[in-house]
Amino acid sequence: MAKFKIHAKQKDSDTKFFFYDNMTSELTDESGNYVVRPSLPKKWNKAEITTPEAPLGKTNKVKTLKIQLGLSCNYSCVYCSQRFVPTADETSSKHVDKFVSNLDLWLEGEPETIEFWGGEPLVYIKTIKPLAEKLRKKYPKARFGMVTNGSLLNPELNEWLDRMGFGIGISHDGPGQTLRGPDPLEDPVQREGIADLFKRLSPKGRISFNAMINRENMDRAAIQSHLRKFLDSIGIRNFTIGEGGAIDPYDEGGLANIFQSRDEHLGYRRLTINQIRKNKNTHFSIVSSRMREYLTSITERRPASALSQKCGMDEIDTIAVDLRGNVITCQNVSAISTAPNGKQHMIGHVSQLDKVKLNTSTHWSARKECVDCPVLQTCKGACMFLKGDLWEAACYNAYSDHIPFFAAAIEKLTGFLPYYIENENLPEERRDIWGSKEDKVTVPTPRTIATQLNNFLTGEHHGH
Amino acid sequence: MDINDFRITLTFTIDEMNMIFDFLERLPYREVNGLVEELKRQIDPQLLPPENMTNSNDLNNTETDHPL
Repeated sequence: MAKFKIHAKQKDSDTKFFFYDNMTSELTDESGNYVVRPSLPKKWNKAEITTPEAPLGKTNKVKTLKIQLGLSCNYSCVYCSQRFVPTADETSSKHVDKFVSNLDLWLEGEPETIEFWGGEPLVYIKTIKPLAEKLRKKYPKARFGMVTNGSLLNPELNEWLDRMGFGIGISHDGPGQTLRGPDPLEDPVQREGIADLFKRLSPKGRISFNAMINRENMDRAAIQSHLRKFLDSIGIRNFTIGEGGAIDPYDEGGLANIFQSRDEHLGYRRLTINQIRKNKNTHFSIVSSRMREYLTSITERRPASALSQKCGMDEIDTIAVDLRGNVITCQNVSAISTAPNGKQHMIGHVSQLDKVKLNTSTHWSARKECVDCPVLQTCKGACMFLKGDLWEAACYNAYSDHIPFFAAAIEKLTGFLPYYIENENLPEERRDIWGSKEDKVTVPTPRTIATQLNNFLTGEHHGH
Repeated sequence: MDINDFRITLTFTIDEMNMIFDFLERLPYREVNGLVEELKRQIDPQLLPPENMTNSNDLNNTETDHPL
């Protein structure tokens, strides 16, 4: 149980103290009174806890089915979580019939959501088409989802995606896109493919751009206005930006692209709180969802025991599989890859669902940093299979990602903005949220040109 | 798809590019030295580390000001 003494202020006011308990979501003032009148008592389901020593399995009543088609991609984003994951032997359309007919042997009822994952999933279009058509026939009500870089879209494919009922997230980092590689919005054919899909799916609320925050791309307002320019040009006014959180590091590339120094952490935190206050990042769904989650968790006094992991892959009714029926930790790994704790990411097979064991991963409640953390209620433990240095780096990065939202929510409830969080287990750089007025703060700008070595090598780079 | 039409764009961090250059420079081929020099000359402008914006001077507003 961790209690935090929060030092908060209005501009030029005296400091006021509040007390926050991350395990009970209670927020009280100095006299011990609740800051918000509690809502009616609510019944909370206890989250099940997975650890490598006592791993959870999976149920056959699947709510979310994630199908991993392979990790091939025509892009090479520097911070990609899949970048160094060893690729299993590719599956193809030949595996589809068996996969679909086997579903009845292990899966009961109809999944609420079916997601199709790459790499770049549309690289696997010859597999996806028969797969999605068979699954649509079998599960007429399931929501279909896919995240793509958008470079392979075209009107004919878009019509099919629409007809199949797909919801699509197009990964694009706005001004930070160069870190991912090429910008499909600068290629006339790819731009037209993306525009066409937006025009089809936007009125149905089934499409978003998905952007990630990293050290070169921490300005949500800048991302929003970059993407707005494109959407304005095709007549779309209402849009949401999905994802929107800071990246977790999975390798050197990830480590190089998280916030690097105290001044960058401060830059991100201040930029974010100022933009939340001025409503400059409201197209990011994560902005309202994190704020809402803090406000409702405090109002409803949501116990931490109800929190499953951030990604939801620890839940027994959320399952990631490949077309061979291998069950894997999540969609970002392959059946032949190994988790940082040395266990195989292939955690079982659908033919023996009762033997599946999620022994690669650790629920937040088994991590001391999470138990002692004020942003637990929205962070929920970053990536559940990271370990060691990568985990520590992910944890600090995620702390900075979430703390402006925590502070903004407390300010909304009390009128006072937290600036210091007292707790003996919290490191000083986490306690002091905004730094002093004299501290250096840094917001790196995105690089403007991708480093396209192979274009040069293939003779397409003509220099300056 | 024709294999000649298939192209992957790789994006490297500055550290990774330097590692690639270090590796290439160690190869015992005379031609490589010329290639590395040429690569550096062509690519260097693209490897500039991000410019730093400090205390909102480039943000053109007060977005990194202390919130209190």
